[in-house]
Amino acid sequence: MRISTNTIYQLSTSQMTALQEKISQTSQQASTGKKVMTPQDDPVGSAKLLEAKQAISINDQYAVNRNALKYTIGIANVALNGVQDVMQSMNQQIVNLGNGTLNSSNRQSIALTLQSQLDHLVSLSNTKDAAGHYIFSGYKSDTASINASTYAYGGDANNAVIQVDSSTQLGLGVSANTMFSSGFLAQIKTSITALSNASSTDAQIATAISDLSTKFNASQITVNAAQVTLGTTENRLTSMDSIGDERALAYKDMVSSLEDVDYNKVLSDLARQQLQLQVAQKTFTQISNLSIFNYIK
Amino acid sequence: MADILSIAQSGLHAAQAGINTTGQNIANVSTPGYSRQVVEQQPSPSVQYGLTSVGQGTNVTGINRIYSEFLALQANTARTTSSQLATQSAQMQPINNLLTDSSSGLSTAVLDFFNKLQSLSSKPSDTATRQTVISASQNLAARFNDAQKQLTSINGGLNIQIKDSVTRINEAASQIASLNQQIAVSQTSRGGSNVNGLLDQRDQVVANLSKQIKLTVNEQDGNYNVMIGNGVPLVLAFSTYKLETVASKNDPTRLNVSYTPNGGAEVDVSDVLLGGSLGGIFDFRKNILNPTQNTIGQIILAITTDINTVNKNGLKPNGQQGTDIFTQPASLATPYTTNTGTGGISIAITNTNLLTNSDYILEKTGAGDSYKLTRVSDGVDVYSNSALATITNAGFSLSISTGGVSTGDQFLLRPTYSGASSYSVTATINDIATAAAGATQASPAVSPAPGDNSNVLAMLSKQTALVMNNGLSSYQDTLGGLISTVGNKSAELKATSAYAEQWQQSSSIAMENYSGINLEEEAANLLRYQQAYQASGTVLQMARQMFDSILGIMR
Repeated sequence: MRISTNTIYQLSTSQMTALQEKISQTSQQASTGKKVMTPQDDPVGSAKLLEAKQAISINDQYAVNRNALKYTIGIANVALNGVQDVMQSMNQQIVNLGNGTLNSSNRQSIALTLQSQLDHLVSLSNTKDAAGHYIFSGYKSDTASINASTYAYGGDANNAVIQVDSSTQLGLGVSANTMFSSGFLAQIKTSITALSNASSTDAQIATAISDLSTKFNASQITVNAAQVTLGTTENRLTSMDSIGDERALAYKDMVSSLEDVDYNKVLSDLARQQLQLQVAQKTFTQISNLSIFNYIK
Repeated sequence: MADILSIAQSGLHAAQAGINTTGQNIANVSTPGYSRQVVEQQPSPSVQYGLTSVGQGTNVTGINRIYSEFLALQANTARTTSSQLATQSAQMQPINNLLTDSSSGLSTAVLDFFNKLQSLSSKPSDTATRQTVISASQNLAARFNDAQKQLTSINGGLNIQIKDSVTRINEAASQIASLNQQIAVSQTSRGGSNVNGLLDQRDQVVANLSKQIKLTVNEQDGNYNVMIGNGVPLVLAFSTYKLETVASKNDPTRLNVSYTPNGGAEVDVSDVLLGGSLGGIFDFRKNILNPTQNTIGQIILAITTDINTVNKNGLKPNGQQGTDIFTQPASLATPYTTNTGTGGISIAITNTNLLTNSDYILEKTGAGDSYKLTRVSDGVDVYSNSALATITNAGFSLSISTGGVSTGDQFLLRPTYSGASSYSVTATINDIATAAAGATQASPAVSPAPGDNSNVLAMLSKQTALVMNNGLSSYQDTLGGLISTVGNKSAELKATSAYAEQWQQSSSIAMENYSGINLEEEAANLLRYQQAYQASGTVLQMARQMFDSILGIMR
C-alpha cells in the first residue's frame, strides 16, 4: 500500500496527542483521588450520586431534628424527675394529714410545706428551653404553661411535631395539661387555703384532704404516663439514630464507590500510558530519520 | 541523423519535465489539498524507413494530478459528519459542567433550602433560623438564575458561531464561483494548460466548506455547482446565493439563516441546513439547549409556586395571611414577527404538575374565539379550534393581554422559560407563614401560637412529593432526570464524535495516501529522471560524435 509522507507524520502525532490526553486525565485522577465526575463521564452514576447526596443530606437533617427533639426531651425529663421528687414529698404530707391527731397549727405548717411544693411544681411546669420557649405549652411556646396565680393551663392542645425520619413526625407529646390530672394544682391551692384557715370546720378539712388525695393519686398516674411517653419517644429516636447511621454509612459507601478512584488501577494505568508514550516518541524519531535523501549526495 | 538529435532532445525535454514535476511535488509536500502530479509521456509517432518504421522520440502529453473524486466525496462526507458531532460534543461541555453539581450547586441549593425549613420546623419562631430560611431561598433563586444566565450566554455564543459559519460559507461560495471562472478561462484561453493547482484549490475550498455544512457537488461543464443542507443552492457556475443571518421570527434572541432565491422572497432555511458545524449548532440549540433551559425553569417554577402556595395558606407571626416568598418572572409569549394583528398573549401558570419542558405554539385558527395549541417537542396539537379560555390542560391559562389577534397569528409560548428575567426573594423573616391559618382570617389579626410549625411541615412535605410531570417525579427526580439525559446525550456524542473523527481521519488518510506526496517515491523519481536526462544527454553526445565522424570522412 502506498503511504504518503504526511500520513506517517499525522498518524504519529495524533497517536502521541491521544496518549498525552490520557496521561493528563489519569494523572489528574491520581492527584485528586476522584474520578472526573461530570454527567457525561457516567450518566447513570451522576444521577445516582445526586440521589445519594440528597439522601445523605436529608438523612443528616433528620438526625439534626432528632437531636433537637432529644434535647427538649432531656429538659422535659429533668423537669418530670423534679415533679416526681416533689410528688414523693407531697405524698408524705398527704399521709401525715391523714393522721387524726393533728391540730390546727400542725396543719398550717403542712400547708406551708404544700405551698412551697406547689410553687415548685408550677416552676417545673414552666420549664423553658435555651431559647426561652415554654416546652410544656403546646404551640403557645411564648405563654407560661401554668399561670402562677390561677394555676390554669396557659398553653394549647397541640403537639408541635417535627420530621424525625422519612415517615415519622414526632413531638414532645407532653404538656403541662396532660402531665397532671385535671385541676390538680388548683386543688392543692384550695386544700392549702382550707388547711391554713384556723376557722375551717372538721368537715371542710376532711373534704380538703380527701379531694387532694384523689387528685394526687390521679396525677401520679398522669405524671408516670408522661415519663413513659418521653421514654418511649426517646427510645424510638435512639433506634432511628442507629438506622440513620447505618443508612448514612451505606449512602457514603455508595458515593465513595461512584466518586473515588481505585489507586491501584490508576497508578498502573499511568505507568502503562507513560511507557506507551515513550515507545511512540522513540519510534517516531527513528522512523523520521529514515529517508533516501540521506543517501543522495 | 537529424532524427537522433531530435529524439535525444525530446528525451531531455521529458526528463526535465519529470524533474520539474518532482521538484514541484517535493516543494508542496506539506501544502494542504495538494495532489501529486505526474508526467504523462507517449512515444512520438514513428516514421517509415524503407521497410520498417522508427519512433521519433517521446512526447510529454500532459502533467496530470492524481485525484480521486470518489475518495474526495467520502472524505467530505466524513468531514461533515465528524464536524457536526464534534461541534455538538463541544457545545455539550459547558452544559455538562453546569450540571456537575459541585459547580452549579442546583441540587445543593434545593437541599439546603429544605434543610433550613427542617430547622425552622423545630424552632418556628426563632429569628436566626427564620433568617437562614430567607438566605437559603435567596441562594436557591440565585443558583437557578445563574444556571439560566449561563445557558443564555451559551445561546449568545451560538449566535456568534452561526454568524461566523455563515461568513465562512459565503466566502467559500465566492471562492468556488471565482475558481469555476478561472478554471474555465485558463482551459479555453491557453488551450487546456495546467490547471491542476486551481483544481486542487477548488477541491480544498469544498473540503473546508464540508466542515461547515453538508453539501452536494455536481460537476457540469467543468464547473462545480454546490447545494448545501437539504437542497439549498449555494453556487451555480459563476454565481452564488448569499446566506444571511436573521433573527428568528419568534425569538429575537436567536439567529437563524436565510437566503433569497432569484426573484423570490427571503426564506428561513435553518431547519434544512443540516450537517457540519452549522447543522450541529442548530441541532444542539433545538434538541439540547432549549429543553435543558426549559427543564431548569420547570423545576424552579414548580418549587417557588408550591412554596408560595403553601405560604399563602398559612399565617405570618403577626397573624396576617401569608404572601409570596418568591417573586416569579413572567413566562414568555412572543408574537411572531409575521403576525398581522397587534395582539399580545399573557401566560398564567395554573398547575406546575401539568407543565412539561416543551415550548408551545399558539395559533389563531378562525375568525371567532378559535385557537390551536401545538406542543413543539412532539408536534402534537394539544388543542385545536378551541376557545382561548378552555386551554387549561397544559398547566397554564392564556389571555389576550393587549391589542387584537388576527386569524393566522402565531405565538411562541415558553411557560417554563423566563428569558433574561429572574427569580427573586423580597420576603423578609416575618413573611414566612409558619403557622396554619384558621378557616377564616381573624379580623383584627390575631398572632398565631409561636410554636405552631404546621405550615412549615406542609412546605417540607413538598420536598419528596411527586409534584412534577403529572405526578411522576419530585423536584430532585426531575433534576436527576435532566442530569442523566444530558449525561447520556453527552457521552453518546463523545463516543460517536470520536468514531466519526476516526472515520474522517481514515478517509482523509485514504485520500492522502492516494493523492499525497511520498518523499521516498519522489527521491526515486528524481534519480530516475536524472538518469534519463543523463542518458538522453549521452545519446545527444553520441549523435554529435557520429555527425563529426561523417564530417571527417567528407573532409
